[in-house]
Amino acid sequence: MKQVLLFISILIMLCSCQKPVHIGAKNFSEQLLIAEMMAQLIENKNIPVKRIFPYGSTLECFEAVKNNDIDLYAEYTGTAAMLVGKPTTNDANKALENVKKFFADNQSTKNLTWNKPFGFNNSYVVLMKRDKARRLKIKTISDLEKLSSGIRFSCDNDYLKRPVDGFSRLLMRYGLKKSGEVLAIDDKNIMYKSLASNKVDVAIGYSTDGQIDVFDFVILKDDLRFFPIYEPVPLIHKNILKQYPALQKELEKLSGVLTTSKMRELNRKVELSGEHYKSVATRFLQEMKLLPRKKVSKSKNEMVITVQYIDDLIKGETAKAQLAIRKTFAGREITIKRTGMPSEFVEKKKARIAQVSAESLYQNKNLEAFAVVGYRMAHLLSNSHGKYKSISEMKKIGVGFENGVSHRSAQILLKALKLEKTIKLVPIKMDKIKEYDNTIIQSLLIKQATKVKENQLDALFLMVPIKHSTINYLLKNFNMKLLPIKEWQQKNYRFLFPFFRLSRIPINSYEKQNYRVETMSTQIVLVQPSLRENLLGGGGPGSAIYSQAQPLSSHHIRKINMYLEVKEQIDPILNVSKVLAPKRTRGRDISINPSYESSILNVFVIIGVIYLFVLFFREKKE
Amino acid sequence: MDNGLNRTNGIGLPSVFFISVLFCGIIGLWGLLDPIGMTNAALKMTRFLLINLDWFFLLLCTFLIILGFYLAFGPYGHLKLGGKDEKPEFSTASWLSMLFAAGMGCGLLFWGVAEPMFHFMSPPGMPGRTPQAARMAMIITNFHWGLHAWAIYAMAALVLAYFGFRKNKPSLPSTPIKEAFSGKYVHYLTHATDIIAVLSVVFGVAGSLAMGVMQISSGLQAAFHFNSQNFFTYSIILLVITILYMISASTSLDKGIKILSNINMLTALLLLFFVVFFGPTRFILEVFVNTLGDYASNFIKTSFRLYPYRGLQDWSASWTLTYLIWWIAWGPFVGIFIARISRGRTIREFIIGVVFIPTLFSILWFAAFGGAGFYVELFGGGGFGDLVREDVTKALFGLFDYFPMTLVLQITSLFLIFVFLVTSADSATFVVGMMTSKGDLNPSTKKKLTWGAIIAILSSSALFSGGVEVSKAIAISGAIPFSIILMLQIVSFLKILRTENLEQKEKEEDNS
Repeated sequence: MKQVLLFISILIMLCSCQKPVHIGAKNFSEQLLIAEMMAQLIENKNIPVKRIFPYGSTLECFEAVKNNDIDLYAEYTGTAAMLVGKPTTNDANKALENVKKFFADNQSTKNLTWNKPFGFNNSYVVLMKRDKARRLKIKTISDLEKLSSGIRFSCDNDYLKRPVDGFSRLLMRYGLKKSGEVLAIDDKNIMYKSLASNKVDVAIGYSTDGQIDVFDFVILKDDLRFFPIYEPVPLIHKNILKQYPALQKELEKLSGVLTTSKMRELNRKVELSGEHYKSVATRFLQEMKLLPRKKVSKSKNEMVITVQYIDDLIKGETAKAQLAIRKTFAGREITIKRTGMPSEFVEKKKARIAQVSAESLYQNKNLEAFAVVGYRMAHLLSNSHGKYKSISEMKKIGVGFENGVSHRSAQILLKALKLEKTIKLVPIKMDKIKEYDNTIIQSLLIKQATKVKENQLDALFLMVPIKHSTINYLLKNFNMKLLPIKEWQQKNYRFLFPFFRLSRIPINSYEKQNYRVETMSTQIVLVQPSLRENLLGGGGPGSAIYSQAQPLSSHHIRKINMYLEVKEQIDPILNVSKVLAPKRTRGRDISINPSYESSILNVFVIIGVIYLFVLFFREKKE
Repeated sequence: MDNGLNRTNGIGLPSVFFISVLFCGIIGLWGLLDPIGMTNAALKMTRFLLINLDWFFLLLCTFLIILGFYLAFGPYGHLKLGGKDEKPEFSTASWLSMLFAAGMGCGLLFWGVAEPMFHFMSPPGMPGRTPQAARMAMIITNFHWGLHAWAIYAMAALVLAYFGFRKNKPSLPSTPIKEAFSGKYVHYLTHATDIIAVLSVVFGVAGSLAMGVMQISSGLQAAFHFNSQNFFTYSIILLVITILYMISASTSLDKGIKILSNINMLTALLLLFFVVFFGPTRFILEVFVNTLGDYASNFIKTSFRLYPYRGLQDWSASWTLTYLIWWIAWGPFVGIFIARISRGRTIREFIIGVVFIPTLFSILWFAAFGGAGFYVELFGGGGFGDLVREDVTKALFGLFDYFPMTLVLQITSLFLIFVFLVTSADSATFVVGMMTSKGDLNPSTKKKLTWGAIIAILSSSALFSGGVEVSKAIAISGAIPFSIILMLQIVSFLKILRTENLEQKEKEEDNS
């Protein structure tokens, strides 16, 4: 009886729940970002929201909102006009007015209402490389005539197909001549790369594409106003407004805060830096003071990756690794955490993956490496007119962050060279609670370098990937030079500490560096917890699934490696993930019996079973 | 002198109780002092046997199903496990929920989502995430949790119930052997049998309890976001469970375990109903019906499949055979328990109740939990499969995220796991109590509490020394010896059963 009552009360609770607002989105990052912003704003007013995105293509979203399968999504004015078969316009004010009129007249769209527009235009744009445009003095689309031998175009397949504002119409309107076949590529990154590498002269993209800023393309002026206006506007089914009249006002808050260039920046974060659209949207709304800044509760879906303080998250190897992981776990929220000892976090189950260099993995059985990211090289920087020629003459050496990779590597180096007594290492002290971003890290390193300049320290020792921006900065602005670490080679310590390999920093790795530098390097790898061999699976009635530091699946490991595009294998002195081990191949003279133990065991069991039969048929002796 | 050697059973051998306690102490201590050595010894041995005798274990379990069919629908189906006019001791609903609660344990809850999803994402020998993979996943999962599992329990139970209630012999694992065979070694054999059975039960349940505690604490972490993966939290959870099952154990069978099992089943049904109703109802029911057909039509194929040509024996060993060995490990415990509560049922009723109804229920269970997961992956937003593949432990709570009232669901399922554990431990103390008091159907409270304490101590030492691998090693170490006992028991049973039929025919002939 109690259970029945409980059940009924649960049912009542559920029925009294409000119907959530169903929000849809098309399948690209801008739509996801806008939809997420709308969702968060509505949720902030305590109206329940159900996110159904990505919902599908333009047509699917449009049908869904007409049938009230979703309550709202953001549609572009130009597209909307086409959807109901009406002409588009290139006048921003008129565009929305027209569309509103078309929709009100049409029987099937009568129940839909247009809210206030967001206020930016995501139209097609014709793009060119800046240097090339400058050289040829091309500023407008009409100027493209100057490419007299014909223009090599690139655009996506959808644009080729569009009837009214599509590719062939564009050529006709401007009277342009194409050269060869149009390079039709749907992957924006590849399309823009082909423009950047001069495979094509002109690419047709969207005005809010994040890549425009990254590659610094120039947008050619649409001097004939050929492209219609594509302004996103929330398209809402009227039913939901009856239930939540406050909705309309809430969504109007988004109007005007987004500009085309802001949208480009947000798109870039999602598409190029691989950040999750959800967190990008939240941060933007908080910046705009549309959402209160509160401690975001940790999502269950969050995945923590730890890296060194000194690792550059924006450029270079770490950024590449970060992107590979984000691509592999698309849809997961990935948090990058900086720390001195990234591997420790993985061992303590606080992070899933750590980016470490070989020295912290050496002889550690709890961790295994599963992907190579790149290399760290030892950089010993001192004043370029300083007196020191080698490390053994020094007394005080500044290193990177306390207990970080530079600090630990320097300790190993000094120990190997038996200099630990004579040289004092000065690390940068870290405040454990503080979150360190790139600028703070940079300024702390510069502070350390200043001490070298002021002769408080004899040199600065940093383990960073080659061409690291900090080194470049210090060499250029602090009048420093790189010193060789020759001792490592001379005394054969490399056998004792095999994770440091002899290397050379080539000439011109950095600005003004016209000498090569003998040094040592170590591999940067991604690591995960290594489990002891699982001797039996986890099935069964009493089996428990418990959370523990778990390795990634082989599928994910292969994917990360694929995205990393690093061909090299992991240094064999490290504990390498079994997934990467080559498949056992059959030996040439494999014997017909792989295991005699097994044969003997089987014979025993068969005899046992026969004996059971004998027992069964034998009469019981009285 | 009141030492162990004097505590004999009258024929010159130390009592089962004493030797069992001694062995528990030795193995428990080994696990505590050298957890890695003990784990490797137990697991490596078991794995070696599993891999090399995979054909034998699979054949044995399939044979048990065929035997079950034969007994239920053959000439012996009408025989009653008890006196001629005896009525069943428990109502059918209570009987079913008690046996299901004892047999399945909390594994069902977590694997209910995780296993179908896992096979769906990476089925053996075919690409994942396809409709074919979904069907295959359901077939494999039900193969692991369905008839094979219950046939092992049923036969282990039937043999004992038959001798205990029809022949009125003591309810001990050794009874069938004693009855069917003669010879000078039988005496030693029966003694060893009882000891092995006791040890299998104690270790099986202690190991499972330790794992269950870890499971609850990681569930607490998932639901309430606090760090609970430490020995301190484990101890508190274990203490609470121990107190509860000790209280339950000190009451009689028809109070403690019966009430617990009924709560268990009702909560499980409630959860199932919730998932079916608030999930994709029609889809789940379609999956259920579809799986019935797929399971039935693939039954022969899967029951004999070992993948010898594809080199997927490793897959078989880590899934199929691991499951079989788990069922066998729990066999003595669940067997004796089911036997104890089945007095007054006919063999046909018994087999239907112990083999077929639980199988049907678990197919429905997997259709609901696994089906909901498939739905998310095939027709919903997706992303759930990747989550499961990345970390199986997130399957159940991850699925709840798609449902309304997530927290209520999480707490309910934690509660269910909790009650499952208390019930299992309680049934185990009862069963061991029975076995160590010469088959007394209502063992003394003192004995039950002693065993309850021993189980708790073993679990805590497993938790303290090394966590899950040690617990697992402890839990399944009794399985291989018990499988030999089970075969001997079945041969004895069939031997005696054969004479029964003859007797009856003679009687009928006399009457006519």
